[in-house]
Amino acid sequence: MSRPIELSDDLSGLMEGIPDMEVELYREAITRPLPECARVNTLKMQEAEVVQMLEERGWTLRPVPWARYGYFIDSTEGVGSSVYHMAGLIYIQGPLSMLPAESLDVRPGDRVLDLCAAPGSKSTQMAQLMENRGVLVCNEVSTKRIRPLISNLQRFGVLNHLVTQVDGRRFSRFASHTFDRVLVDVPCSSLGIAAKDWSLVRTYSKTVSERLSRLQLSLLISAFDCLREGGLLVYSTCTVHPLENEWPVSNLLEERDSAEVLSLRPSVLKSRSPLEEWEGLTFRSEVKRCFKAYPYDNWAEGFFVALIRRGR
Amino acid sequence: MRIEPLSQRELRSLEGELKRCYGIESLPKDLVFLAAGERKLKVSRVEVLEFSRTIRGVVNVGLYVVKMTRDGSSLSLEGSQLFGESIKKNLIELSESEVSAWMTGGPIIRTDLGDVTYVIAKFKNLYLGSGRVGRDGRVYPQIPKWRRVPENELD
Repeated sequence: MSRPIELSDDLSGLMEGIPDMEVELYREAITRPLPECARVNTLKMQEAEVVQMLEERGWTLRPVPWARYGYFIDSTEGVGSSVYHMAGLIYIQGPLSMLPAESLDVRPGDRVLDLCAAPGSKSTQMAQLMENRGVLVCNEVSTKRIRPLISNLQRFGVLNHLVTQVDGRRFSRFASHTFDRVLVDVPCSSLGIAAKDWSLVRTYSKTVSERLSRLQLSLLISAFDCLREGGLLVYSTCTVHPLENEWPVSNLLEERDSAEVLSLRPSVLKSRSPLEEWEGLTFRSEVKRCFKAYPYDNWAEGFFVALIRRGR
Repeated sequence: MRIEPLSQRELRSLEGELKRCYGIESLPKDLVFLAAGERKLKVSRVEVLEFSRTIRGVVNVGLYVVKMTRDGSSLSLEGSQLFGESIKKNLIELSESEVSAWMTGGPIIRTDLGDVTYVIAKFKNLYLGSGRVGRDGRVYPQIPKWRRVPENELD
């Protein structure tokens, strides 16, 4: 029997303090490999044609019920180094990671902002849902992460994009009230995808989440200010920490009267109610409308997704 | 970053070149072509180009589609997919095993191509960009290194 993965002292403390967290199930979830998944690229070929091509190659595909063009893949060859990946017919992406862009209801012709876009998974997904029409702004502050973003947009055949390199916290200074849709998939402690990298849980320190939560709130407010009236915003993380999930959304509601949280509960996914209070912090009751799943809920990534509308 | 679309004269020149090389009769009317340096061209949409002039920090616009060379024009994978069925000549069909070889950057043998510089490869409805025709009867795919499948990944 393999040794259980050791959690850092800070993470053990955090897990004990989250009332609905089952620590042993969390440990088990992060020892399992994440399901192999990809989106079929309909910007290059018809979905059915690509699926047929992959099945003729011997791959087994099963649709992801909550994401258009998403498939669970069973293949003996390396999907990431396959011809189909390199040619841009598929984009490898975790199944829960497809939920934020899918929830945003982007439409062809929309003006859309992806505020923290690298490496481009959700940008390419939105381009696909926009059918390459409208304007897709992919922003990334990190010079190191810009190149893979541009490469992935190219590989996927996205022609309605432009890439900007701006600190997302300042984006609204020159683009307020500009976009129909905004996605802000913020940098986070990634505790929901620790199956990819165990060092995340072995070295986790609570100062990481404390620092990130302030950045996340600033990004969320900037993203919200970029929205037109009636526009939609998705805030997402791949972590389980209330300070990075419930807290920024609750604080946005305090800061912006026109922000309205919409209910997001896809029936095909197991999810749980976000917390109303944690460690002496009280969150706004509307936060309970957000989507939250721990890694063991669907035996995939842990994710938090908030769908927010800008009212008058 | 200043991005300018091609002039009418440059567009006519590009159209003539693509017709000569690949039998492409006309350029898509709903796209703008942009010069991207090193004789490379990108495509974008008018509204994207207009929007790029209104915001800060723009570092990239458009999809790379064509590289003009002294003796022809080479289409990227995405460029060839974009033109797709309007490519009427210098098109070669690959078998599945040839697709794998092509995507590693390895040459494909074709001895019947005559005096042409570039051809476009196709597998079913997937277009795989240009290859340069050598005098040795081989076609050398112009796949950039970052798009190539590592040879040890092939079965």
